[in-house]
Amino acid sequence: MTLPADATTREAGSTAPGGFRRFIVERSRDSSLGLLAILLLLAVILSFVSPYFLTATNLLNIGRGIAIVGIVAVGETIVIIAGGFDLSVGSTMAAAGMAAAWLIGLGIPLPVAFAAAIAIGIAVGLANGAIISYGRINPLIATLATLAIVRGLSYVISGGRELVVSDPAFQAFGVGSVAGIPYIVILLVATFALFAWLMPRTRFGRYAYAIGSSAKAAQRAGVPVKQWRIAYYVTSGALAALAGLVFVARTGNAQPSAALGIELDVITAVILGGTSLSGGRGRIWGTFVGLLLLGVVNNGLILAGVPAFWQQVVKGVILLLAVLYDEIRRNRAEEA
Amino acid sequence: MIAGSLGSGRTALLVLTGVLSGTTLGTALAEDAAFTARPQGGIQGALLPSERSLWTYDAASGKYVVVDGDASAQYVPNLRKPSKPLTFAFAEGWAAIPFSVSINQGIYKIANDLGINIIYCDQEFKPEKAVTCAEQLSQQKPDFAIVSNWQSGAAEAIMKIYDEARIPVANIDVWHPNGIFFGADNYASGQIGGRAAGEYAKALGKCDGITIFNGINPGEGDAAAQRMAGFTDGVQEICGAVPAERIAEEILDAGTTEQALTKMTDWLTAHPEASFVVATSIDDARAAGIAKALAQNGRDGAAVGLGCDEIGVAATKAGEPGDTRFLGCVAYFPEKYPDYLMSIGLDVLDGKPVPNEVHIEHVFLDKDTIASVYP
Amino acid sequence: MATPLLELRGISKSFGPVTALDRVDLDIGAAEAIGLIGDNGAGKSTLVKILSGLYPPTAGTMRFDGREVRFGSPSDARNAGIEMIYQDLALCGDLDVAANVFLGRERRRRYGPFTFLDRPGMEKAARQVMRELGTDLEPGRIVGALSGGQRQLVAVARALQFEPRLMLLDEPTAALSTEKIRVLMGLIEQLKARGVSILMISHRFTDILHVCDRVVVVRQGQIAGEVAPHAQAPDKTMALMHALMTGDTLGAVA
Repeated sequence: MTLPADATTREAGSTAPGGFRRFIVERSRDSSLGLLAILLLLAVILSFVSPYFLTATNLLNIGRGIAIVGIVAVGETIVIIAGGFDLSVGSTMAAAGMAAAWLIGLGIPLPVAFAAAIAIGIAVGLANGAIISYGRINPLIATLATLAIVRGLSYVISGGRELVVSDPAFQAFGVGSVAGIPYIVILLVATFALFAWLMPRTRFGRYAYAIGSSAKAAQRAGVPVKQWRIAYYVTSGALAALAGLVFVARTGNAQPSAALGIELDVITAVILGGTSLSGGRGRIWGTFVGLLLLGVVNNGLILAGVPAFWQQVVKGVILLLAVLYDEIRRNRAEEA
Repeated sequence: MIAGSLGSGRTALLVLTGVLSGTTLGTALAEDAAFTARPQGGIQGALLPSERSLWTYDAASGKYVVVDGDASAQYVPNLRKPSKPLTFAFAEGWAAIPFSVSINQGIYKIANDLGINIIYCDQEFKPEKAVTCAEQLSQQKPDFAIVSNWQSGAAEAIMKIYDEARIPVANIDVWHPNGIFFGADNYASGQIGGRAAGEYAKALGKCDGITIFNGINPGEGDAAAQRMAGFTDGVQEICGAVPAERIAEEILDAGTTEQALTKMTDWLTAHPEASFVVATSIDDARAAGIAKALAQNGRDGAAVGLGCDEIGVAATKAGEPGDTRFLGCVAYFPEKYPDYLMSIGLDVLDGKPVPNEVHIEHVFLDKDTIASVYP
Repeated sequence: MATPLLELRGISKSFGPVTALDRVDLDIGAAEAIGLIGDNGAGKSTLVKILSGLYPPTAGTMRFDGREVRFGSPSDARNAGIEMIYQDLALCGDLDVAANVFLGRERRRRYGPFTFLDRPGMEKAARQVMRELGTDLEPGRIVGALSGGQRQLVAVARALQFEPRLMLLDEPTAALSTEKIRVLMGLIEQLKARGVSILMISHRFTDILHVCDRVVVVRQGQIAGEVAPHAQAPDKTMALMHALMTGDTLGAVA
């Protein structure tokens, strides 16, 4: 006996006549094309509003302005794709930045101080991952706890004091550029490019989608879910620490209250970029587009001379419209 | 004498740490009690009149340079219409704070009256945003920049950007390298408030057993810390030396009444022996939170606000200090800031010498006197 | 008859004071399809979980392919050649067909110290296995957008990819329409033709049982008996199964 022919052809039939359309529908679920269109529209408007908007200096300024949030957002995107959440990134940034500033102040060579800062990020990530994987604690609660603990420890160790970094090499990392492009913008783009390239090509990436989609299914398929989850939080922690270094290099100081509340900007960029809060879906490049939109809005409001209070309102409205438009577009695509 | 050596190569840390030497502000009152106010001098942003010098801006090098002349006289604002169209940049400290709002409104009003164009950026009390604002404002090539950054650690990074763009800068309340300091006389304002608190305790016969509480925030820099140092000294000038174990401090870093209330309540719970507390913090909002905590926990004493912003004025007018535990506030006159700042900008652009530090004269206002200034 | 593929002897499983399985003996021959039926709580699931390595038995021996085996984990069972298809199919809806087929056992390529997914290789293999199953389902399709029957195909394809000797199916028809059940029957016939043995759980009497060579009835943790579905008329088969499930042996003898 062979397969009942009519049954399978009917199954397959849905791909045959509308195959291309179906293909587009499935792709559009994740794509950030709509957002990109909004971004371009906004850029066109702003270039009419301010003669400074479309200048090389300003575009690099936008890049500088989003570098810190962006590097953190890469790790956050991965964690959220894997069905998790990391609220502790701001605290990790502060702790890592403080550690680096302190070590540099003691005369420790830069690479060692950098490594120590990244190690702190990795340690926080390990703690987050272990608590969530083995303690079976909800990631929101677990990372809210580590947010407080890590921030608190930064205060305890520093006595609430800020540290000023005057190492010229470190400052150059924050403000210097090569061929006119700031180092931190290069670092930002490189971080995005690296992970955008890795996600579809490695088990690291594929399992993030699998675990976020269905941790149970991944577990049954033999994926060591707990270990991979830890790996994602470690990635997030390490990238947060890297962003903490950029923060210190850029502002010239490290303080325990640094990056307070930055997780909101980070998560906004991730969600704008189309990553699903329920996990399983999202794109690193989508986050980049979301981040750019945030950066352009922030920059444009200043260039347009919008008063501070209205800036917040306008920002909120633009973000809401962007998400709404994206949602409508997606629903239309799915119904099609 | 010190200002001349302020090259940008020096780190902010070195400069801000300063040296504790020179003469005292409180000599006239020193005989009142067995306490002498600590001599304060040489601190950037809190220079004594004799330590100040006159500056003009050298556009070619992007540096202020010292010129001969006496800088000790009180600076008098002189607002006038500029001879050519000017653009001033205004980097606001944080638009969410009432103190900042009144400066903001004043700057826009004067700019409107004088026909000066304003470009604007809110630094949101965040160092990375302050750097971003410096980048975005300086690329628009303003003639002058008013930078109200309270993150002293980021001062050097910010000023580097304005310096490279050859934009002269005046800063508000926090000293920045190669910027004209304008603002509060931090130590003096605290001292005025401390003396008022001391007099209040003395009148109630509570000088013995008094506890001094300071709501500090190291993140706002050494100059801000001088407010509490002045307060502590001012109280002791009236009440005599207070033992170190009864001089307390807690970090209040959110800048809000709510956090101050919560943290102060916790502190009071941990210190039942503190029955009469005089207290202050960096601004009115936090002092108001401290006062609420005292009242709610039934402790005697009073908090003194620094600034007399809307919160401070309202708290001062709210009732008798015996009930509200809010004694009054030391006026920083933020409504006068714009006159000074805009005038400084016009003077600098006209090549007139301006003191490297311009200070407001502070006055303590209580329930009875406040209405004469803030009706 | 040759040595059975799987021999269970005296398999028992207790959870504290509760005995879920009580001295079960069962043989499954090569390319044989066996239906396992019984009421809820009769012990079918426990038996399948022991076979798939999720639970260790409390007592008894298992021989697979003539050798005694002990499964400490699902991967032990998988390595021995036993694949499980769960009732919910255990697919990741956000991944595409190829990614699901190879989930947990991705093909990779090594470049120096790094290994990367061999995406073209997996896609090709997934297309191949789909073709063998008689469908041209695209390996790039997102599984969440597929119909129930197509998903079943993906789950079977995933199991087949690893050339199992024995396939365990947990309630495979539960979520399917009558039409899709026909598709599944076709699949099972195909598996048998490839020499794969099948053990299929069902708690209902369904048409699907007609593809089985034997239907084993479990009741209160023991094997109550078995029925050969093709040995008599369908209604007679139903009556026999019903009698075994309810313990009404008189009816069965008659």
